[in-house]
Amino acid sequence: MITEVKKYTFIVHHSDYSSLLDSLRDLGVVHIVEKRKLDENSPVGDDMKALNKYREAIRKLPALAPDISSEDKPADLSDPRDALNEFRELLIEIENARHQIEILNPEAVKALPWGDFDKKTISKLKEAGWRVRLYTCSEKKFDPKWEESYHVELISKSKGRLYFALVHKDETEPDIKADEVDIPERTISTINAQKEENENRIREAESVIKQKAPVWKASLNKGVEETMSRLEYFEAAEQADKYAEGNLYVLEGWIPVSEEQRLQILLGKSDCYSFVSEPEPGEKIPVILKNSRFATLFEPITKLFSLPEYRELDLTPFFAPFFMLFFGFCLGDAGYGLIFILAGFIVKRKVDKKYKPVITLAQYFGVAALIMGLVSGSFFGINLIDSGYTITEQSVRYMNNAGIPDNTVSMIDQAKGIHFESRKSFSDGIIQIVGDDNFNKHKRLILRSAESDIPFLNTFRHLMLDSLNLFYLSMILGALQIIFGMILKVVNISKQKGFRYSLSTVGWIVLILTISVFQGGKMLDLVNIENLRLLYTSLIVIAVGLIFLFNNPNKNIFIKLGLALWDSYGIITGVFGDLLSYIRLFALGISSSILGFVFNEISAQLLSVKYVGWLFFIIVLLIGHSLNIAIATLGSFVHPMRLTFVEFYKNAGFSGGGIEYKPFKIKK
Amino acid sequence: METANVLTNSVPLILAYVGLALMILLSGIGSAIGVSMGGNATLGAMKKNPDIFGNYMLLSALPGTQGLYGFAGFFVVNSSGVISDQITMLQGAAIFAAGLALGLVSLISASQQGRVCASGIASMGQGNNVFANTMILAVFPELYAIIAFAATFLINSSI
Repeated sequence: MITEVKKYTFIVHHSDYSSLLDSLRDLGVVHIVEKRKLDENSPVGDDMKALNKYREAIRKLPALAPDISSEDKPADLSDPRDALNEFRELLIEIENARHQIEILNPEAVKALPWGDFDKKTISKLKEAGWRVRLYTCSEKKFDPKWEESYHVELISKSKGRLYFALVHKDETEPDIKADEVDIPERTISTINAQKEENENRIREAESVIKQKAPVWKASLNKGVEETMSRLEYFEAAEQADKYAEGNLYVLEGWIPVSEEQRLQILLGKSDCYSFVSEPEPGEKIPVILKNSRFATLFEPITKLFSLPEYRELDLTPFFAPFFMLFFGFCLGDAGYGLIFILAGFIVKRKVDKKYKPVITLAQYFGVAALIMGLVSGSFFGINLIDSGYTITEQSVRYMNNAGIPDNTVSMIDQAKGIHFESRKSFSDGIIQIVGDDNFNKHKRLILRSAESDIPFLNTFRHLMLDSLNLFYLSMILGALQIIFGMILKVVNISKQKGFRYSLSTVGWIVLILTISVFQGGKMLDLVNIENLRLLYTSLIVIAVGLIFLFNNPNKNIFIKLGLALWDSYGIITGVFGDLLSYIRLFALGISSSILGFVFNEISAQLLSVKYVGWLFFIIVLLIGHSLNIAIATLGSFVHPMRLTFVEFYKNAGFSGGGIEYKPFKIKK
Repeated sequence: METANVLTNSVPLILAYVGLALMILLSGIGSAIGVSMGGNATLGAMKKNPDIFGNYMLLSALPGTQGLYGFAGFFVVNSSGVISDQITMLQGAAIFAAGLALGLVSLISASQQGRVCASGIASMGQGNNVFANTMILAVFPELYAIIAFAATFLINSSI
């Protein structure tokens, strides 16, 4: 349901404007009509930039000071701007120091083999006419003759390379096959000392950050709050239209009808003139959703797509039960559903109150999964349908009491004591004894009577659906949602334009229902078409008439027929496609059950490994099912969502585009 | 005559095993390609926004499920006992069909899903808040691999 709102137009003298804004802000329920947007060029552009800087700093703080918790509330807060500047300066300091170290590193690598030496010695030698040159080559290539021919001094050896110095007279040129290296500008010790110095700078800066982080974090948060508050106020203030050379300000706002009284009391005390108006077509009206406790849990899902437009039907309470059912269908395992429910209770105690609705929603999903898991006969991947079938004395008594003919029961009695593994083998076995027709006539009762290996299942196992029936069920659920959507479309159109416009949709609904009920009934032998031929034919005629003759009350007959043909093509192919789309429910459900089954089988096989088999068993089970739950949950949420937003919304004629209700108020 | 008998028995067996091989190898290749695309995109995004590595990792891992489906399909067929000396042509052809379907669909589904995830990761690296949106979009290619897997299971139950 969408809450009713009214529009108020306020007219004040410019000197009273800020007091009006203050009172509105205190009231906190008026959604101000947005006429213009703020941008970076407006006077508060600086504030907007500052907001970004604050937010960036808050984002970067935890990386450098991971230990601060959000509960720290230091008594002494500093000015947000000071905190920001100090933090940024230290960040720059750290950045510079890191950069320096990066530059020093390659130099250090080059200087390392040469150790420490005094450059002055080299210059003195140069003055005396001796040159010092540095060479490097691999150990194998080093020729000992060099040491005889020249003054060679081995400096160091590392990783198979030799580093040596050669001193020679200026005039002679040494002729050796080794790589010459430039004499390093600085010795390794100097470089290391500088690196050390930079590292110290980083350490100091980091420790200052760690120390001041709690205070800074709180101050920065305060800065964000203050700036946002200023921005919001300015934004609201900008929405007024100015008249009479800036003497009169006119502001428009929306208010829920329930809060109107409070506003009127406020206006009574102020120097403001105002008048009320009803929402008009074409206006952008804020949408406030109001639903039952159950449907409210699904509102976040509605908002993921689009809020309904003010005048149309809020579909949240209508898709909610379907969504829940579809989630259960897709997850398709009773054990996983149980985990959702139990985990929900545990998690609810440990987290913030604001997460409670989401967790409750998850628990509802768990309930649906539990139910649908039982319907499809899957519990943690264990196939509950094929849980052994045996005819016992009790079975015979049950069949007798249930009214199955005596000769059939006595035939089935022959199979007493034989244990069948699966429902299929049991059915085949019984069919061999009593024949196809006989079995199909009493199928449910016979299945119900058979004893299972797990006695607990006896009472409802016969209700569990096998794959083929699940396939049909998914399509049936789809058809139900589509038809329900079309009915809602009738309501929607009636609400917005009038019932006459919805007649063609009514025609489609009648047509689809008639065909499915009669043809489906014929297939299941529930309906005798021959007797009801008159009813059947007249319903179809009425439906076709509605579709072709009443689709558009205002246009002439030829255009109506043309449009109807075009619509028919669209709707027939559309509905077919939509219906088939619901097969995904079956596919997802069955795949998660099978994956669970596969993990069970693999872990069971591992059990036979000597000594540690049980450990592998537990590990594979835990990891396998966790993985399966994770993947299945994601798919079970996304696909029902797609079915809702595409198939259901389309058939319900949802247009969306509503704007969110954002009242002008003080941020807490 | 003996040769003919051997051939009649071999053809369904060969078909069946080729089917199993296709199931595993094509879906495995698909997943490998998909998750690698995610990994590459992650390393690029880490340069710009290293704080949300966890999100990148989760998205990269999404295409991994198709390989799992291929393996599960193999497992289901293998443990049903259908593959034996007495395998019929019908059964061999059925398993081949299942393998072809599941393998090819998983191959393309996983590699394309990897592309979607990689785009999402790259976008997140540039600062756009699209983690949830990417997760949702990545689930759509996976649906077809799931359908192929369900088909494999149904084929297996009917032979």
